[in-house]
Amino acid sequence: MTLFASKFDVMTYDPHACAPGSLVLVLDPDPATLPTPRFNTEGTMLPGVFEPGHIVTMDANGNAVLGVAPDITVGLPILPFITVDGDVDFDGRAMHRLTCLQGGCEVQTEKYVPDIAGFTPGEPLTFGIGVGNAGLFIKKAGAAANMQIYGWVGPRGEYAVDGVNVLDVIIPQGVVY
Amino acid sequence: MNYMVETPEVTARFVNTNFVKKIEGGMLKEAEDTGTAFIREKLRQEAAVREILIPQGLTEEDIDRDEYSDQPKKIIDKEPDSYATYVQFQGGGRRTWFKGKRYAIFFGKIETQRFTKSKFELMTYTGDIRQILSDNSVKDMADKEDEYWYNLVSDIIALNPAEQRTTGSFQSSTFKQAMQKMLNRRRPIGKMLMTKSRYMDALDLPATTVGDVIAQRHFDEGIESSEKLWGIPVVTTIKSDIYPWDNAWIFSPQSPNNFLGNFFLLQDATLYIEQKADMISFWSYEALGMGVGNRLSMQEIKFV
Repeated sequence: MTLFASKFDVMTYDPHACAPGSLVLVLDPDPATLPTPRFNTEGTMLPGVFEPGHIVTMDANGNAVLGVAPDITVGLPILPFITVDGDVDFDGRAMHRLTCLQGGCEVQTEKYVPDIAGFTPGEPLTFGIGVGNAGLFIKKAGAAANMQIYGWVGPRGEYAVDGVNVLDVIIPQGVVY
Repeated sequence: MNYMVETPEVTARFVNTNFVKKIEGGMLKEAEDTGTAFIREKLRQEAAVREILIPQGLTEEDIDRDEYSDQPKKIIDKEPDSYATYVQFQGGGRRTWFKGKRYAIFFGKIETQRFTKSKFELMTYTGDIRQILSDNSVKDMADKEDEYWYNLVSDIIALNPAEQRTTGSFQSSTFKQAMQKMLNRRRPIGKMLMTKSRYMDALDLPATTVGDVIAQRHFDEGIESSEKLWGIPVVTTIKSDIYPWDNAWIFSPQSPNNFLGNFFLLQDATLYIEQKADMISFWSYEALGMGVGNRLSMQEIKFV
């Protein structure tokens, strides 16, 4: 690694403080998702669209878009990330960049599509299928049965925090069919 | 009586050795201070935006809290508009339930790459480690500040190009038109910003325009001896990759009255160093917020 002629380098970000096993990536949001202009009439920066918990994937330019899982019976899997710091809160508005984890973490998230049958620990989850569901976890069942997995329901399952339903999700590193 | 003057030359290898020894001796703070002081000096010199918007440090007491978030912000009051009117002796001015406007500055972080090296490999370097810090850290951070400022300015100009963009060649009439636009909007003129390469075009300004004395000085000493064009201070930058060289900008001043915006620092550039066994890591970071509260206080010049 240290021979000057070698251009090899290890460029990984340090793991997230609450997910020491995570693979961190900082992504620029797709410019089409940014507010235009980026500030209101008085000069205050406006929020983007990416919130913590949103699942994102990279477009051809390496920018983040809300993720939609592919049908892995007819195509190849893609590399999803979960947003831990989006561009809606204050530092997100200031910088308009996203801090994401590929995996190696357990999260509590409200970014999922509710299921009438509820969620059972250990059930596989896919993401993004259906109108208005881009970036959200979805139970890998029914119309979503052939879609790529991006996590499993964790031991706490679905529960409420301050009256808001959340889902416990375990996301291993790597890509799962 | 003549006498010898001895100036001890400290080699870069010695500096590196001392750097490592300070860290190993538990003097992390001292090593940080050395680098931090150096970095601050360089940043002031190298980030063009810091000459347009003067950075102002904030403390915990200065930060505004938010009901819905624990992230810092700073709310700036803006001057309310007002007017007067002519009336007869029995008349009076209109009443108004006055209110001011405000805008908020949010904060983010600029951080360099996190440099890691074995102390055994570091021993082989004859170059000054502090130079590496300045080259790899300070310039990158200053560039990010300038990128942020350029993107902000570009977004503002793009909202109102018919009014806030002046097109012309590098001659007095173009600058005059741009300044007249600002003055017609009742915005004072503070500083100009352009790349050094564009600033060189001032060498072509003829004596019939700038006068024999200035033309002679430019011929003898070059353009670097001039810090102003037509009385307006010029901030020049070598960063043609950030600020397009066919553009220049005129900004209203921040003082004595602030007509432009704010550049706040929660923490100025800081060098962090740590060692675990034989591995030494260091990186720099700063927390800043920038905003423009008066978007009509700038004019872009597009040279053709």
